[in-house]
Amino acid sequence: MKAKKVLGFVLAGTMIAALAGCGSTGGTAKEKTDTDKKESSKESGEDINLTFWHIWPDAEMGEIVDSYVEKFEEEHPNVHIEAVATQEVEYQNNKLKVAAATGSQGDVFVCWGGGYAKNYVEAGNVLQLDELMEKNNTKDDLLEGTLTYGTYDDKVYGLPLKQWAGALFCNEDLFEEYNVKIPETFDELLEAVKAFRAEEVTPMALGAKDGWHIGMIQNALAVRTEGADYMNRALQGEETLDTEGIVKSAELLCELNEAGAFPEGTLGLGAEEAQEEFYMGMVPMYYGGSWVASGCDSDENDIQGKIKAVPMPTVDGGKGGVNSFSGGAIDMIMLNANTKYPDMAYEFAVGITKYMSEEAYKIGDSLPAWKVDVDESEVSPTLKQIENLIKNADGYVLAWDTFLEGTAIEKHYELLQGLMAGTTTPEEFAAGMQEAQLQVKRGDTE
Amino acid sequence: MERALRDKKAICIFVLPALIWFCAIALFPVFQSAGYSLLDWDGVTKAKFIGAANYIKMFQDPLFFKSIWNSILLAAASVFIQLPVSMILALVLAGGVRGENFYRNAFFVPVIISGTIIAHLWLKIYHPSYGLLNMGLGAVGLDALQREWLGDQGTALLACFVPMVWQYIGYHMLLFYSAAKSISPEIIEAAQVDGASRFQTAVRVIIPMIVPMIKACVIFAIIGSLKSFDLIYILTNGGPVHASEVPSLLMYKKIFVTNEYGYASAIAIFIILECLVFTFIVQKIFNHIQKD
Amino acid sequence: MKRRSSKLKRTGTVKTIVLLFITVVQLFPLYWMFTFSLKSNREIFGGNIVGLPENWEWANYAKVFEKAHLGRYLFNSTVVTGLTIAFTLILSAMATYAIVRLKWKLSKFVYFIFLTGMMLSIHAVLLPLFVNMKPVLDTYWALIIPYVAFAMPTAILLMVGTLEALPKELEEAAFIDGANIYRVFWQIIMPLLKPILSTVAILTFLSAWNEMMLAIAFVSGEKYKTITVGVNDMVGKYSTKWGLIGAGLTIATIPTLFLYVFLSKNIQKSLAMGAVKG
Repeated sequence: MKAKKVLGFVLAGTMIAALAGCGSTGGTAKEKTDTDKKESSKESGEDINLTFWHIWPDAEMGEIVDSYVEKFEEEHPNVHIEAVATQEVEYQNNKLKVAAATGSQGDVFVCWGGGYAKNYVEAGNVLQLDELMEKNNTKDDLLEGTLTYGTYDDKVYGLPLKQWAGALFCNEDLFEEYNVKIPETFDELLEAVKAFRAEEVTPMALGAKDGWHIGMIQNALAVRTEGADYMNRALQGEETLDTEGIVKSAELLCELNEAGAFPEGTLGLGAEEAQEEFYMGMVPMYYGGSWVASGCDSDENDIQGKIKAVPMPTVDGGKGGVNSFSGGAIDMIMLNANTKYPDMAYEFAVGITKYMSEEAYKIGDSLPAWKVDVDESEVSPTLKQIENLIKNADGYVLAWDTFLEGTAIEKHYELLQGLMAGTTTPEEFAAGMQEAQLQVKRGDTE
Repeated sequence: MERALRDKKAICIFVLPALIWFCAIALFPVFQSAGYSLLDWDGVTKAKFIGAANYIKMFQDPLFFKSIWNSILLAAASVFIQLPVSMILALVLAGGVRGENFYRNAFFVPVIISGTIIAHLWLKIYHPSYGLLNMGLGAVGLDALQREWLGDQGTALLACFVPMVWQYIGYHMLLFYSAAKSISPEIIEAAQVDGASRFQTAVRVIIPMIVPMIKACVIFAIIGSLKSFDLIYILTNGGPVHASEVPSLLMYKKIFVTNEYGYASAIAIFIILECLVFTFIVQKIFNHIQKD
Repeated sequence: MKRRSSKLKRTGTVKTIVLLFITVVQLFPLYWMFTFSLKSNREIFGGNIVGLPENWEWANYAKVFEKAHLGRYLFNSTVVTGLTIAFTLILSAMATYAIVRLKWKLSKFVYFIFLTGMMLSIHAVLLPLFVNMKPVLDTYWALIIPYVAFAMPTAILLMVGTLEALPKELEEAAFIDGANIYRVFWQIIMPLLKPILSTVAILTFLSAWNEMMLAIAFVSGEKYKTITVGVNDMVGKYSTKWGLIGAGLTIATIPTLFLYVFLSKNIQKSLAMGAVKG
């Protein structure tokens, strides 16, 4: 009897799934209708359920999200917000990609601008925000230039969550202990590397198993050799990536590598493993984004108060000066084009973006993208140093892998690893990047 | 009885639930994927029909061939190293040892632990500066053998194989063991009364009787190798510079990193066909053996 | 005579030493996971990788329970895995019986279809599967349905191999006694298959319990999150707190160990029973 019941249920389940399968065969995201959206957004007194997809399952950031959600629900008694947290790497590579392909991501969701969201925007799965921004005068609260990478075809799709800037984090204790000067030029950097190596100290943290981690350094060197303006144009496909300056940036990376700047077996080390040694106070230098600041100031690590953040050392004859930085605003919050309640979703999205911007600033995770009002003493001291560095910033270039699209990203990682392994020459690197970029652009125009 | 075994209604009741469930959920999407493999599609925006272009691209891609070759090497290692070890352990245990149950359970432990933790464990073992392996080699004076195991293009693939082969030894052992145990004791006793040693009994009586299970294990081992993903994903992510690339990982990257959904689907279809071909070959070989 | 027994003893000792050595190798990950769950990052990165913890940081466990809803996750994993095993065992056994014993033209072909399932990797069908599963996303069924579908091929392959090797006399006798086909299946075949059912149950359990890709993509809310995803969530992007992760992994592994020990006893029992009857 029991078995029969179960069986019936199973069959029903199978049928539903099979039917659903038939109904949506070959269905891309184009099938969705806009009608239900219009119907329901008019009423305001009804119960509104929104989902918010974010990437902070860990306690510290997760609590920030929860506290805002609570506050928002108190202010809007008819609104219920379900916050769904997924670990960032899984979210970026798996969860969001699968869901956004069919437009079934959360009403409000964390996303990345630049190349990452381009497909979703083109497929019509992301809500265009211009009208809503106009209506709410949102732009007045934003810092200048923070919308750039959430804008596609002159229309805004993403609200910036934060900004980052790259810096060379130096452990002053170790520099003093071994009597080494904190480098300002590339030559001094090389000297520092050699000095630490001579003392059998790994000079710089790098986990080259993760292509992006090598990219951080090479991309920053390219800002020095080729200048921020040119790099931005080149990464957009307006100029070639196969230039002497970019070859030079790869050469410099190789020089560092040959001088023994990076940990032994770095190609087999992940970014996290490598950076941990810096946080433990075993490695004197780490080039990274401003998010490294939160680790520098964390009680869990051994380097509180020992860190000096300096700009990437300058390169003789390079076109980019000390005031050009890697960085920008690439982390965004976007709205699902299928949301039933665009107005409420927008209100929530703006609220939480501002709030997160402030809180992340305090804990040293990132620089704000909004005009925030934060008590200076609450801000992470290392982040404060970076903020001072960028006061006179004259240009920012995003990490290449957030700028580029699809196949070019993978090619970028492959070529960077090749440089580190000695199987790719700097010339091949620059030529390879240009070719990959052309291929992607060709695919777009077809 | 003959009539009962031909009862159409009974056959449907027994087969259809499993068949429908399986076809709707697992098999049907394969045909969808086959369809996608003919498209130039990023998984999101509008797809374009391009016929066999993805397959042509695939067969011109040296990286693809490298990944296939790597997976075949892994399959060979599984069949010729992992399975014999499992078989020996299974026969020793099934032959009766003190603490048989304890050993059987202990050997199976790595299978129980999720691939993620196994991979992290081996990351630590291989760590170039404070990994167990290099430390051990140093301790016994074999400094010359110390390597950057996962960071060296020459050793990365081998370094990935070792934990993969190791983890599933207990899995195959359990299967062999349960098959050997289901042979009725009389048969084994009869052989021993005839004066066969334990070794001879194992080779002449037990192994021939568990050939169906051996066949199943060979198929598992080969297919598992051709589809391998988890451990390599964490250990090297296919690197350095694709030295340890395998087809599933390549496909994963095509879907989730480079957004080449059509191309990835072509690789998926190829993996399925490849597995089918290998299974077919194994079946043929074993049919031959079983007839003899 | 005497010499022979001492030789036997010696080979016995060698065997024991080898077996114990392999045991140590196989149990090492468990030991390692448990010890690093009690260490701080400082200790692990300071070089104490395999030794016993210097300071036993039991607080790691308290923190994990405090931070994540591990109880909820464990419950979800239990529901999903339990139902997956139940469906897989019943459906596969039924199909196996039809394929091996019943007489119909398509039996070989249907068996072949099931076997093709072994070639499928979940990544290959992730996107179409997601589209097809839309109606049940964010429920237990979003995971159970595909898990069962992907577990059946292995289960059927193993069961077919076993059933083929079993003698038919018992069934024939039952038919002669006038039993119908359903009774024969339920009262004769199922008990005969018991050892392999336990084995299949363990394998199904492991793949379902440890599965992560579908569990992340097909289930969104806290409500249905499984333990594997919950533990994965603890691996923050910018910090690797190994002690906490280790504690989470240990908590997630303990049920698998218990279940294995429980089922393996069952295997033993069924083996013994089968031997008496056979």
